[in-house]
Amino acid sequence: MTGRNVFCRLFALLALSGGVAGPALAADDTGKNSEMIVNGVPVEEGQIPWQVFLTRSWTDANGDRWVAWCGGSLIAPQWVLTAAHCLEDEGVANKPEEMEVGYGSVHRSKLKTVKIEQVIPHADYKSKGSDIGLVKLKRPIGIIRPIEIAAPEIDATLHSANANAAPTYVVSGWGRLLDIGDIDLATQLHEVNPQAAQAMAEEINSPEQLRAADLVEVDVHDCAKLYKSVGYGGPTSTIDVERNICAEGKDKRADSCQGDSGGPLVAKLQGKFVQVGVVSWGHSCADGVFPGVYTKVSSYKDWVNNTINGAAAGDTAAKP
Amino acid sequence: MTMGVDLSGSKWHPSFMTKSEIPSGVHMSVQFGPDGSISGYGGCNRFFGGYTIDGDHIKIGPLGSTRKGCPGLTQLETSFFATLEAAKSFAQDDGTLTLFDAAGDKLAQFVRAEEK
Repeated sequence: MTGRNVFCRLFALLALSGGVAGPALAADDTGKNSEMIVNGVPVEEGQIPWQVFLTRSWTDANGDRWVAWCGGSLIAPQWVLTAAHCLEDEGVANKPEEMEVGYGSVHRSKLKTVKIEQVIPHADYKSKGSDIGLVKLKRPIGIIRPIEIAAPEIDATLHSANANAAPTYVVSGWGRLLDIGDIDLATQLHEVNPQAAQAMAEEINSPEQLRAADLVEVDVHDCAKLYKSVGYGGPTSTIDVERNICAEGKDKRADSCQGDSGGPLVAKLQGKFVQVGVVSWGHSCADGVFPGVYTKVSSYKDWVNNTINGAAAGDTAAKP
Repeated sequence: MTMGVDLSGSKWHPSFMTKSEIPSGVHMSVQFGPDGSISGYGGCNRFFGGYTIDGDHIKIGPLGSTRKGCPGLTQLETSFFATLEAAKSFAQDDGTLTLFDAAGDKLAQFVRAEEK
């Protein structure tokens, strides 16, 4: 591929990922405005107020500094829901003092921050793939209305509302805009124009503005079968119909991606948003074959409530 | 060196990759399950998928992973997953696993993880 072709393809991809009329949440219940989403559209201030940005910064044994981030959702003034894998590395829970939560803006550079008091990854993550966790903040965030998490009966309502159509959702995050194949293009561009390549790679990997994409639920049995057919099956990669939701873009080109983990998958029901899923994992991003896999929040509603209530009562080891 | 032995149940840490330098403070691993599943840690994200072995031939993937963002580790992790998926054959002795591409060139070398 020539340098000029690399430039053209990258600019076209970036335009597709950002140059659309409005975010998915601006759409009405029929999903208008959303069919053109590729890897998400920019979100305007106030449209997804419950979205938070969870970061961890640490120094390794050699003194090198590293940063990792995830999404999350404010589900109570002092509590953030996220993925268990955002709160641990190789089975070891992250230290709360290394982490903080950003909130209050769609722009990463404008986020206010709050320290973390406690991280609580679900105890069954490693053994059963319960990829869900809670973060207790040092202080409540009073200015943002938390999002409600779905109860099992809400899931049932979503599926019975229109028996002929799969439920539609919105996923949001500050994750990667394009799949890794396109990032390889940025690497090629580096040989032609290193500065432009650097700026482009940063925007692809670490977008400044929050994005959202409309997704359609994929039958979880089909999804489980698809992943199993290519060998998936360990404890953290078995799709359990009770614990997971699978979703993809209407044209199979929208998806969550690296940096979106832990973020909310929401549904609009009777004019109100409820959180139904947490971004968990997938093969590649929006590759047209494999849907994204989400933790089914309603299956853990009791665990969430018990944990929060247990913490309030001084019992930090709340059981599911 | 033994060719084509079973990797089932073994866990390894990469010590060398042709395409990327591995910073010593970054944790990376790969574990071969007895059920044909493969899993591990790419420095930022957990990954998983399947593998098959036929003699000294190996096929790994397609691999999936969790979706954390790690700006300084993206390239390394991507290289690691691509290296595993590109492997066509392997060789191992007691403490070392080596993966080779279709041309027989070395892709990566691993050291066996200590049993805990």
